[in-house]
Amino acid sequence: MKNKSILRGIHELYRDNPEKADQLIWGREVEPVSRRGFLKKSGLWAMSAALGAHIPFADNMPGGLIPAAFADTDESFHIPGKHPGLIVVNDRPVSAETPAHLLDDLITPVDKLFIRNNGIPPENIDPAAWMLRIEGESIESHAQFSLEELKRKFKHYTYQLTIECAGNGRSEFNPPVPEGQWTVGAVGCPEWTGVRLRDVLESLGIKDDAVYIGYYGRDTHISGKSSLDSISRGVPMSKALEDETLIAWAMNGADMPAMNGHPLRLVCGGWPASTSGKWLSKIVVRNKIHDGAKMTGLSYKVPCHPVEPGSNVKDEDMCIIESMPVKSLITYPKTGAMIKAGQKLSLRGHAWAGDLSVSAVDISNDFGATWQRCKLRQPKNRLAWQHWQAELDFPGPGYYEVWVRATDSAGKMQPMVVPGWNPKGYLNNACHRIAVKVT
Amino acid sequence: MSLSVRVRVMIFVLSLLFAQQLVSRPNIDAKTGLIIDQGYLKVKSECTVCHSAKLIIQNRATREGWLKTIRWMQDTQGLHQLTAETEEEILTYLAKNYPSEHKGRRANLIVENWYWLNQEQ
Repeated sequence: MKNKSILRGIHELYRDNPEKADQLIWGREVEPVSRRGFLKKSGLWAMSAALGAHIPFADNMPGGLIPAAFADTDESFHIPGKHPGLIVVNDRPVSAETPAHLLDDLITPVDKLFIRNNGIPPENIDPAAWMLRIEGESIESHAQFSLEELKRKFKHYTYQLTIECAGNGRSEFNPPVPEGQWTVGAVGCPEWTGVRLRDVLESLGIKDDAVYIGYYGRDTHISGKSSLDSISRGVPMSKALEDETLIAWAMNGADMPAMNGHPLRLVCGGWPASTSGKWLSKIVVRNKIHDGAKMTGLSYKVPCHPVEPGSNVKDEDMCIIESMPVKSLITYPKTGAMIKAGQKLSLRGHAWAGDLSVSAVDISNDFGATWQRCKLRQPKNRLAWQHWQAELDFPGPGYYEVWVRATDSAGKMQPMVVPGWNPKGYLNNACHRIAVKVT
Repeated sequence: MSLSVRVRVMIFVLSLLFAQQLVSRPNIDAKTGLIIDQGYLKVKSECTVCHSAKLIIQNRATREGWLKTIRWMQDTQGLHQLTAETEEEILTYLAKNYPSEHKGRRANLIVENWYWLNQEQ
């Protein structure tokens, strides 16, 4: 790339020395204590002039940050440690999903696990100095553990656990719902290693009135306001005390990637991935439903009773999402496959069902008129996805769609159309479809 | 330089030119991808300070829907009060350029690349 040596791009400047870049390009110096804002108005004017408008949160704007308007100039946004096939849904905060055909592995590799950040991840992480505090009104004694202490004091467990963003599939809702337009790939099932949340909490004494746990992480709010948490969610005690609920430091046997929560995170398999807090620094045991950021209002809630599409729903008529619904994916072949008439098509994928297991998977190539039962494997452990496979005949040439439909252990099936509309666009578990041509 | 290399270089250069043309479509702001229309500079300054323009571009809503999103950002995400004038300009821009579309209960599949499947497993 000839251009590279001539043109020292804005991104390169910011990568090398963000604060120097601020100064070079905009003449900007931040307020020395907070490292935010603009010490001289000339810096703000230069940046505003280039943006073509004033900057509303100028005083809060952290130093060394490329304004998103310029950050957008990169055609391809690369996420370190992630497969280039991931689709970036949002670059600030970072969200990226994995196309279905890249989720073919039985155990999701680290570079193919989706990212959903709510804030700006912490920088300069030092695992040796990382602390986890346990507090709250419903724990007998407050405590603080270093990462090394957690590893030394409690027994280690490894489970393969499915985590899925509650908004996976949001792009199909009608009327549309703002926020990240996920299609099908905000899900994955790696192996997680850590200690049981239960063991840690029980070592400190859980009071009888405990109702919920809440987490806090070290990511910061995207507005730069230190008074706001980006996200602080949690789960009821029944979920918190399950065998598989982990305080985890490793994914697939190695430290997890920065974007997935390094060096420590919660993992609550089968529940909205937003309950699996990243960059975990504090857990609180509460005597009421945790009321942290994105536990209140409409976030991660659906109407307690079904509503007409597009309805306004009052906060008090919304219920917190707990277990995710039954769902499945066709991970092979990739959509758009062409085969010769008379050829059989081999297909495979995964199915999962929140807290439950999957009892059956069926596929159809006639728009759901008839279904064929697939071979289905048992999960590696509770809350892990299950693998299915099938061979399909096609009656003749033409355009086909292969649909997959899973049934959970309580008998519930995936719908063929998009399920009940809700104000934030959660829980779309309509069956996955791929297109196939037979010629 | 062999002929085939020259052809390849030429294709490369042509594809660059083509890509250039794509990004400089007259009505799209090359920096953000936002549609250039009355109010887009306001959107650029007020919205992309906190989040990427991608979050706007991929979404569709009615005027009321966009207003709800602004109120949500003000209530929970630290967005400041906008002047009535600015809010009006932003809402008009968003409702016109990123309006709600009727998708039905399930859209047709869009296939970007049809390919011959080589079925070795």
